[in-house]
This record gives sequence, C-alpha cells and structure tokens, in this order.
Amino acid sequence: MKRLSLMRSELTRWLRSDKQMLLAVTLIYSTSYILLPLREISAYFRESLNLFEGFLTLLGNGFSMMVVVLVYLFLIIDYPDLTGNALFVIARLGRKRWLRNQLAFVYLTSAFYLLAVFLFSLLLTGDLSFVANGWSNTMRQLLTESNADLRTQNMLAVLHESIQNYYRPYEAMWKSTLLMFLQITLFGQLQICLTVRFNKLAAVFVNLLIVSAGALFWNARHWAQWFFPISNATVGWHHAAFFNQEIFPLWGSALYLIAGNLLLLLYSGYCAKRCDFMLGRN
Amino acid sequence: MITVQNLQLTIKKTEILKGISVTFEKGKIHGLIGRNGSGKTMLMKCICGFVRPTAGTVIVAGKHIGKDCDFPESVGIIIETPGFIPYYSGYRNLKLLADLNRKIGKEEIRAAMQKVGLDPDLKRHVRKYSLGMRQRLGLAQAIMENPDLLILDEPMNGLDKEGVADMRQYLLDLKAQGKTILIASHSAEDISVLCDTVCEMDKGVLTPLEGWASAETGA
Repeated sequence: MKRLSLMRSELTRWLRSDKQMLLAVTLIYSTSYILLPLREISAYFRESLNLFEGFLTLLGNGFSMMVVVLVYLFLIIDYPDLTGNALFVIARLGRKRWLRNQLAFVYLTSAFYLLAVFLFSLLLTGDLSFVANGWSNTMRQLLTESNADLRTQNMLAVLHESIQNYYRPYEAMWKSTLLMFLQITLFGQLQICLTVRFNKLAAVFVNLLIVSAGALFWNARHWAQWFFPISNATVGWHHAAFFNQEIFPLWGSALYLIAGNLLLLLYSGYCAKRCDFMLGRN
Repeated sequence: MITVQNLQLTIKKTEILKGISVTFEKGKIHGLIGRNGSGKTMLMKCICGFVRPTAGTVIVAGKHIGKDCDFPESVGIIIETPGFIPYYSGYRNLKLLADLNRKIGKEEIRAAMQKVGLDPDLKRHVRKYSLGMRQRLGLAQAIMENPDLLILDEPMNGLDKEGVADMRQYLLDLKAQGKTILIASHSAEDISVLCDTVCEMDKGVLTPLEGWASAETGA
C-alpha cells in the first residue's frame, strides 16, 4: 500500500472537492430522462421493473453515454494536480511511481463514479423492482407495437431492444458495466498522460474530440464508429435490434478497450520519463 | 557534490540556460543571485530533476540525474512558494509527505517543525497560515528527512526579522553538520552571511562573483 499512498490522499481530496457537485448533472439527467419516466411507465402498466433496468438504460444509449463520460472527465479535470505540494510529492515518489499513482486514482474514481450512479438508480427505482434474472413486463410491453407512442415520448428511458433480445439482465449488467468502466478509464488515463506530456488544454481537447467524433459516427451509423470507445462501450449497439445479426463482435470491443487501456499504461511510462514538471502548469 | 556540465535549456525557442558548467562542493553553502527570470529557478529545477535539460548533464553525489535516477536521492527542496493541502494542519501535511517514502516517523516530523519554530500540535489549517508560517512549513518539509543536499529557492520569503535570523542560524548549523546547501536569494545580506561561494545568473549565463571563494564554473 506504500506505493499507492498518494492515490489514497488524492482520492480523499477528490471526494471532498467542490467538483463533486458535477455528479449532480449525471444524477439529474438520469432522474429526469430515465429513472422518473421509468417509474411512470411502470405505474402506467402496473408492472414492476428489473433492479438493473434503470442503470442499463442509462448505459445503453448514446446521449446518456456522452453525459456519463463528459461528467466524469469534468470531475477529474483538475488531475493530475501539478499545483500546491505536487513538487514535494513528485520528488519523494519519483516520476514513474507518481504517474502510476495517478493512473490508480483514475481506476478508483471511475469505479466510485459508476457505483454512485448505480446506487442512485437503485434508490430511485429499487422500491418498484425485483432482482430475478429476467426482464420486466414493463420493458417487454414497452416494446410492443401498440406502445410505439409511449416509446417515442420516453425515448431515453427505453432499454435498447437488442439488450433485451440477446442478454439476460445479469449478463447485460456485468458486460455493460465492464465496458463502461474500461471506456471511462481509457478517457481518464488519456487525460492524465496528455496533461503530463503536453498540457491540460491538449488533454481536454483530444478527449472532447474523441467523444464527439465517436458520437457523430454513431449517429450517422457509419462503420467508423467502431474506432471510437463510445460505440465499443455500448453493448446494445453490437447487435441489430430484432434480428439475429451481430453488427460488431462484443469480444472485439472488449479487446479494443482493454488494448487501449494497456497501451496508455505503457505510454504513461514514456510520459513519466519525458515530462517536465512546471509548478502551476495545471 | 553537484557537477553541472554544459547545461542548456531551451523552452519554446527561448534559451533559458546557456551552457552552464559549475561544481558545487559538498559541505558548503552556495549562493545563487540574479534578477527575476534570469534562470536561477530553472537551474535548480534541472538539478532537482524536475526539468530535463535540452543538453548537458547534472551529476549529484555521483549519480547522473535523468539516467541513473529521476531525482537526487537525498534532497530537500523548496522551489517557488511552497504549496500544501489547505484544509489539513501543518503536521498532517508533513505526515502525508513523509508517508510517501516512510523514511521517518512522527517524532522526526515534530522535531523538524519545532526546529523551524512551528508548533506541531497546532490544529489550524494551512489555509489560515501566514506567508511566513507557510515558508517555515516548507523548510520543515525540506529538512525533515535529514537530506544531504538542500535546494532552497528564496527560503526567506515572507519571514519576519526574527524568522530570518532563526533560519540563517539553522542553515549554518546544517552546514556545520556537513550538509550541502544551494540557495537562491534576492537578499544581499542573506548571501553575505550564509554563503561560501556565490554565482550570479544573468540571462541564462552563470558567472562566479568576484570577492567570494567561487564555485568552479566553466564561465
């Protein structure tokens, strides 16, 4: 644990930071567009929900995906912290250990962030939900032809059809969460590495470029969407909605995100060796 | 001993350091003077390993900084205004730093704070510290692990008369213990009281100052 002592203190500082207010953006978004509409639909059909449906719906569409990723990026925008006591810390830890601590910080904050969003979805829909490994009648009925209008009115609250058709809730849950986690850590690591190697502005610019280009290609349903993490992290987009047809293999996306994370880990070693620490460059 | 050979640093086409060669002997206090922006801090950052020079080498205690090690192994640093976590007490800030490499325990931290005139039991958060108290805390973090080399950029900033006198005496005591100290200061009095050798930095060029037992420079 000695090696990760900085990560612990950074995490404490992050949890106490005013920036945590930004978490409210994700929570308000998911409440307004997903969780409350789901509650209303559930009441309308007089059916319960599956415990994971709220969270899976959030991770299952492009708009929500962008909100979740962007809010996380803004939550960690002050990191790596190159102000204050940073020089004292870097001198004691060494370049590589310091950067490894920053990357560990990214992994832990990603997990915290997803956990907070998940717990919030439980809080808002838990009382109407069951835990069995099957989709709710609410979601099934929502997909029927007669409820097309309801679907259109609550577009963001509809769980992607292909998820319901290809997976059961538990499997969808762990696969979606894992891919989302890998996507967030990819962006987080990129932010840390580019800030250290170049500067904060370059890091933010590159991340925003990747998110928007990914969203653009996804919106255009262009094959190039699979070059970007946002499509690879969305389980539902890997299959055509009602046909037994795979658009892109899920293992391919998992491989893409894992490889991306590993490459950034390697790149971080190079960044640690090559960077200059100018206090206040943050 | 610190040996700097033909050190050059160029940032965005601006030459910050122009082929500096100098040797700072062990067990002495070496002074660096010069105008703001003359390159003193950058030279110190290169010696500490925070900034990689464009060309040239820095060797501290026989180790090539950037090749054999990232940073000098036993060094205490104050560069620019010392920063701390504002919502922790002084002691807690130092404890946090000490825990990073676990060379020292609570007693050494307390002793370092007392040496610079700070009360380790003071619960006040650092954000409520005066500039002088922060400077003292900065010095405490630099000395708490009993390093062989101290690199101090304007360590007297913000200190009152009494504080300056204490600090000077403390630095002289450290020298008597065989520590090497490299100090940058705008105060002629600090330099004259403390330093065995003095070099002046002007526009990235380092020259030994007449009338002092000079550091060996390549100038």
